[in-house]
Amino acid sequence: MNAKLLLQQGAIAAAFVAAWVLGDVTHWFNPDVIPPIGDVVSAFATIWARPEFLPALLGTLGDALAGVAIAALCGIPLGMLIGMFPAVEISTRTLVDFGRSFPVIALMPILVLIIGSTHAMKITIVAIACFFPILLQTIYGARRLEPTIVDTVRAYRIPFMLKFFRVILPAALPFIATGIRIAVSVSVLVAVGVEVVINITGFGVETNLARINNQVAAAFAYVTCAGILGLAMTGAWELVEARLLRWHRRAAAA
Amino acid sequence: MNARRLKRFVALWWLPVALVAGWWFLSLGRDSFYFPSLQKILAVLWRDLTTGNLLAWHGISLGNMAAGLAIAIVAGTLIGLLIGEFEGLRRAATPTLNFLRSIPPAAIVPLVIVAMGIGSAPKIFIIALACFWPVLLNTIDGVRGIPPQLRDTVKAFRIPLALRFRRVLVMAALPQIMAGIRIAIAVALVLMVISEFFGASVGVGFYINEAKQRFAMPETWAGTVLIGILGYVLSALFLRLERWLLAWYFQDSRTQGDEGA
Repeated sequence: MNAKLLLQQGAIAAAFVAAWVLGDVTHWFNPDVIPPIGDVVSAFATIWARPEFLPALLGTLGDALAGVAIAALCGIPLGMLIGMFPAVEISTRTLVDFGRSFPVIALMPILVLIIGSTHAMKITIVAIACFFPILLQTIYGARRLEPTIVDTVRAYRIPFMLKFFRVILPAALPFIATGIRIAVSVSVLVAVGVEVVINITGFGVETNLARINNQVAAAFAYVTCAGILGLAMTGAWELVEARLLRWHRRAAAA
Repeated sequence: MNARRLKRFVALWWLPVALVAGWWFLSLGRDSFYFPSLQKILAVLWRDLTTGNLLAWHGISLGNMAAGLAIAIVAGTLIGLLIGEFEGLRRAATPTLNFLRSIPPAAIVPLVIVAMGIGSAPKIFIIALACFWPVLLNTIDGVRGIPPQLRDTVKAFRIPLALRFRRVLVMAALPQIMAGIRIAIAVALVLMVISEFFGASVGVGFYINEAKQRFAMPETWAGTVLIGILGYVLSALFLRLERWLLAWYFQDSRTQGDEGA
């Protein structure tokens, strides 16, 4: 059964590759636009050895992580505050709706002028973009206490601090973890988006440079690297999440 | 009833209004180069909307966005219905789809612009490509989430394939499809702006970027404020549309609690 599934998955991937090859050999794809898949694979195998690869990787990875960390530090406490008090929730709802629908990348020109083309600027944009998924998930989590738990806490007159750290926060944690998972994948997308527009070390910069130097296959390879970095970071967070929330999974499974 | 509505309106809007008013009065007469007063920003915005070509550019940007979104919604829903309905196909396609959707769309903007030139076509292509994924993945989830009782009913009544897709699958997956479109609208806005940072001569993104290159701070702020308003209005309008289209669903599921983001 499992072997069959693997075979089917391989078949779909092979169909994708075959379509690409077919586009190449029939000259339906312009090689300056979509390079032959062989060129992309060989570029992918060689860019690792380039001296600029490691700085680019660390540039994207480091700034993305810094942005997520700042977003979590601001988003979780604010989200708890908003989620726990209905008066705060309704007062901030319009602002939160405005923020979540704002395309953060549009802030880039202003921030470039104010902060300059620096890592701090990239981190700021990533942090703002990651802030909203974390904030929203934390709000959902803090609001979603089961009525029976609320009644129990009230009946036993559990003091506020104890209630916050032992009841509300643990109940919200699975949602916060989801928010961070979304933020991690957003962080790479935004970091690369910034790098493509402005030259601040990262995969986006290398993609753009390769394109300018007419190395389209290398540009494709760098884009793929950015995608893999995003997948790897999300995967790593899922491992952390599984450890952090082991008690929750066990309770949910039981 | 009316008093309650007024109270709710005040509760929703007092803070944003206070913040904008605070910005207005605190920045009044204290013009700095990087932080022009709100009065000046709005004056510039009004000037460029009424006498400049910002309004026309705004229309072009929105047109690109609408075209890209429309392509993504049609393609994403159709392919999503197909993949979601056939479990074997879904499981086989999952790794390839996961890999493809992890490619950051912003990174391919310069590649596509070079390939397709600087007109509207590459911008529409990029928006469509980026928005395709949220629509596709949500549609697949929506079709998979159809309750087994419904499937059994369809089977028992031997509802033909075309009818099944049109009246059962689309309707049952609609809430999830709409959720996907809501995400796609936010994505489209981002890609619309980025695509106009490159090789463009019209559009709101071009307006902001061009002002930045001239170090024209009030114009840069004005364009950014316009994008913010646009994003809010679009998502508010879509929420209305969603409520109206899915009135039956929200009524149904009220007892089961609301769906998360």
